[in-house]
Amino acid sequence: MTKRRKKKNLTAYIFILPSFIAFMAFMVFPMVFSFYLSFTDWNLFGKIADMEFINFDNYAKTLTDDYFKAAITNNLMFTIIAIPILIILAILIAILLNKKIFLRGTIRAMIYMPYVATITASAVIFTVLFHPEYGPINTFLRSLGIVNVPGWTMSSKWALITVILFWIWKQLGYSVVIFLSALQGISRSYYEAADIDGATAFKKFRYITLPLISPTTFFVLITSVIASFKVFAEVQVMTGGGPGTSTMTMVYHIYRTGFEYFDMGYASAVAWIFFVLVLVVTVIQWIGQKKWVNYDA
Amino acid sequence: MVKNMYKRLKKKNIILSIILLLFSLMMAMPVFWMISAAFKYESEIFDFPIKWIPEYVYLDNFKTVFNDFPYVNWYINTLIVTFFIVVATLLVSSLASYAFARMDFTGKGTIFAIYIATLMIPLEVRIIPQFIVFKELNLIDTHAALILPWLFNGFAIFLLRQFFVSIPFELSEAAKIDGCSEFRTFLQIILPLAKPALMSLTIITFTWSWNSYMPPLIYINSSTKQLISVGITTLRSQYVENFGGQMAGASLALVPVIIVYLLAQKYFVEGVALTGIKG
Repeated sequence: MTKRRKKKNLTAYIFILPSFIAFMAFMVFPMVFSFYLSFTDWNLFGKIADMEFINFDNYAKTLTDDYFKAAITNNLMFTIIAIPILIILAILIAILLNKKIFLRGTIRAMIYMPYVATITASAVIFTVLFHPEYGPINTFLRSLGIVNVPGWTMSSKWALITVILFWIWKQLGYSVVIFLSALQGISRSYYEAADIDGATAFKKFRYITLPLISPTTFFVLITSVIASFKVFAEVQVMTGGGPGTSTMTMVYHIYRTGFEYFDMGYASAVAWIFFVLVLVVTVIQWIGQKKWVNYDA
Repeated sequence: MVKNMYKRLKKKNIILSIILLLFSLMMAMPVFWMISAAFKYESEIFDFPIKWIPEYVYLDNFKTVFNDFPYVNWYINTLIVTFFIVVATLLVSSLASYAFARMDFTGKGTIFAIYIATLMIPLEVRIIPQFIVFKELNLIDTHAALILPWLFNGFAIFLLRQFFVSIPFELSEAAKIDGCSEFRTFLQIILPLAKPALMSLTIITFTWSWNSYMPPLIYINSSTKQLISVGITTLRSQYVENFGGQMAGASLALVPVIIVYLLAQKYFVEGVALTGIKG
């Protein structure tokens, strides 16, 4: 290595050093430590020296833990229901917003607003809006003549749906803005050529728009699937995981085990299962994208 | 004249505009409802049809919230923590992303790839060990515990790199010919040009930190040191049937963020586009 090259490297490393120290301290070390903890029986009140290694016991425990099973099921249900609605709605709104309309700025601002709104405060609003007895939503439904109004957050049948509604409301604006910027990047000439060939609006959407925004769709898909896995504040504020276990989620389970029952070893094991799940989903999507994502344009 | 106007109207789709406007009003409805309920008597809140503008402006909801909770502290704490998080993110991440974008060194690709891969590691996996470390360092119930982890921010490094790469390289070369050191080039030439990106990042970080919930919930115990996002939930659990109080508290938490958002909307959208576009 030449002297100049060495000097160049050194300067660059100095630029990177602060972030690298933080990376070791707040990424690498916690990950390694949490992996180790997941094989121990340590609880918060014990001394670190008393930590005992218990092999795979924590992982085995998840198989018989009803809360864990409920959490995984609810998380999957949540993602399967929420993601298609979110993405289809976001593409639709973005396409409409991309047309010549009045008040575009105002409309976009209002759609994006929930995304910046403080999550706990908005969750509090939703619980009141959806209050089974007094809430305006049910009052409205009753005024339409519906007698058996849903119990929303207080019914085990509707609680997860209520959280999903809230989540979509909160996420939609972000996805719309991303799709909108992708749509604005598509050259008009594609559509003009299609017009000359007499293509219908649907055909233009199917054969021009959809393939050209596919990288964006993929990006939104991955980020929102991961976000949907992480649902926590929503559940904690709106339902507390209940009624019963009907809205228990993985992250809420980690929080409860670790910080309400202080069982840090078991909580770490659940956290690692959660992490691996996030990884697997991401990898599956990476592999799948080659079939439908078009990076040529 | 009339014909002209007709043409203009036809160019923009009226029906579509109305549909979209109704939809966006529906999206904003919870926020409007909250603000209106915050100024109402308890008995008026659930009147149907909804009276959007209260008959009397009733301020007692706000008074009780300020009396019952250290709301001013929550505000100040949130602002302080947010400020330091933004500073930490900007300082550390802009340095690193400058190196990734505009310098050539051994291991660049690998380190960058590893940094970006951390975007996939959820906070929830790291928070237990972090808690233990902060407990050993006596940092529990201090704001440092909320700020320090932000010294590494893979997202910010990614976003800034995208922007730094787009600045013409001739500028750096000219600076070098004039005898500018790498650090001076960074500080005096590239950073000023990156203002829009830094602004976007500031806004994004601001909303994140204003919204972050799990860290303050776990690290902060005393009510006077708490942040708004968690404070609001303690307010809710005490005001079980006081919906006016709940809405006043929620309004106080939401309205500043919404004002910041409305003022800086441009940067929000640009920031989102900057990260999303490359997918």
